[in-house]
Amino acid sequence: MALDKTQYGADGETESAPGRVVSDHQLIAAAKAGDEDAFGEIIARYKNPITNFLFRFLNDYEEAVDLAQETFVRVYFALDRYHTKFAFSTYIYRIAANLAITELRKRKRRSILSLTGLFQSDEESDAEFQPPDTRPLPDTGVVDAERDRVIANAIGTLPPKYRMPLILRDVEEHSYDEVAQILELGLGTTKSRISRARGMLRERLSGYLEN
Amino acid sequence: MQREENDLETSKDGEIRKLLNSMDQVEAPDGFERRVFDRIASADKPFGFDRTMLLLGLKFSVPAVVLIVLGVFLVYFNAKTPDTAQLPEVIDTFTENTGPMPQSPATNTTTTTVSGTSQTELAAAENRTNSNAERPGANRNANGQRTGGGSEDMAVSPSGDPLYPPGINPNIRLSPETAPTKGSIAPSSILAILGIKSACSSVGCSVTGVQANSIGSRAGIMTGDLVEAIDDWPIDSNHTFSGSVNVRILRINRDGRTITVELKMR
Repeated sequence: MALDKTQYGADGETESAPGRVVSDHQLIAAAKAGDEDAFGEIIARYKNPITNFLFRFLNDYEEAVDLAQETFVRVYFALDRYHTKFAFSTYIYRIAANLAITELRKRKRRSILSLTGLFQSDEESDAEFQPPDTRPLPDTGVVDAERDRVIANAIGTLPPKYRMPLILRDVEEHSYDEVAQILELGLGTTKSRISRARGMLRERLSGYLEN
Repeated sequence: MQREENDLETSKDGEIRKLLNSMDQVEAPDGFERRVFDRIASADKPFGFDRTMLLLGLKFSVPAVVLIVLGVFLVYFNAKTPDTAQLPEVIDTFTENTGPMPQSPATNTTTTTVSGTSQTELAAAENRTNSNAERPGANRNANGQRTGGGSEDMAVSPSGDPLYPPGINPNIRLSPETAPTKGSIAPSSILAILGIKSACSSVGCSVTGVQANSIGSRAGIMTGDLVEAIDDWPIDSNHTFSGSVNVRILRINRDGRTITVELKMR
């Protein structure tokens, strides 16, 4: 499951030939000209970070993979409208974020229509959250998996408007400026939301923090 | 830049970042690229349009087409004039068969059907038209031409008399002769209730005194007045009343003049 980030890091560059680095914009230009291999390279470069981002946001792997594929389909059909004044990584994350938010809205509608949805609040902040079980487990791998599950559940309990900038910043390791551009928010708002999200997580994950 | 951002974050923020970074990264499944290209092929632009644009176009165009069809339908049927080919035929036949215009639907009992319309109905319609022309409530000038404006009383007969439901005529009043005057209540007793002392004779009841602040005094009854009638019912020493008597108006004779006095109960 673990993946070396240098394999797909969001540096936007790859070595297609020895000594030659191809930028995202060059690949996009080639894809616009009909080069499917160039678009395949775009997919290979971003499929893992986009899938990981969507998974952390939705906490549903199958849905995350489906939306990641849809993200690349949207990118493909919008190649003509893409402007190179923005970084491609910002562009593709913005599409993925919009799809994820749309998916959340669909879930909300479904939950309203369902009988159990009648008793749920609008925000997911009230979603059930199980506090971490700090009892020692015999196997380290099991402990890590359990810890990841607890952290993922804690992230899932955050309201979407706090959850998304937190994931982009602390999981995907984008800069504050990039997060602000992806979410089309002001820099101050972005920082405020990330800080608020960290505070919420700190309360929920106090058992896993040193202080 | 990165250093400045990190400076902004407290050590507690760093802990959270470290914790989140420690999570395993999720990878895309095998065959991800192939499935993306399959989806691109299956969702290829139909007719050169983007699929979302096509759906958006359908979303607005379908209701627009429905509205246009509905509008055309309504305009067509509103503008369609009745088939006038049969109308002259009906009127001609009526004229030939009936001759002079009947005076009322009741007197015309001819029911010969012409092109689906009975002559009785035609006669009634024509009679209504004539009645409207002579309706006394209509606004007309000196030449008898309608001046327009105002409303017309539909409850009038051709002769100008108001029409009321059978058995009801608000203009009919009980005549004194038909009044229920045979009873046990003497007129002087009624007047006494009103604060009027009287002595009744064959011509009426003569007022001999009026109690101060009584109904009679407030109505202006004075000693010496001759009360001739209560509510248009003539009273004298021989008249008595039965049941409840609604006393509203007294007709009195004062110094040879007949005066109608309306009683004020308060």
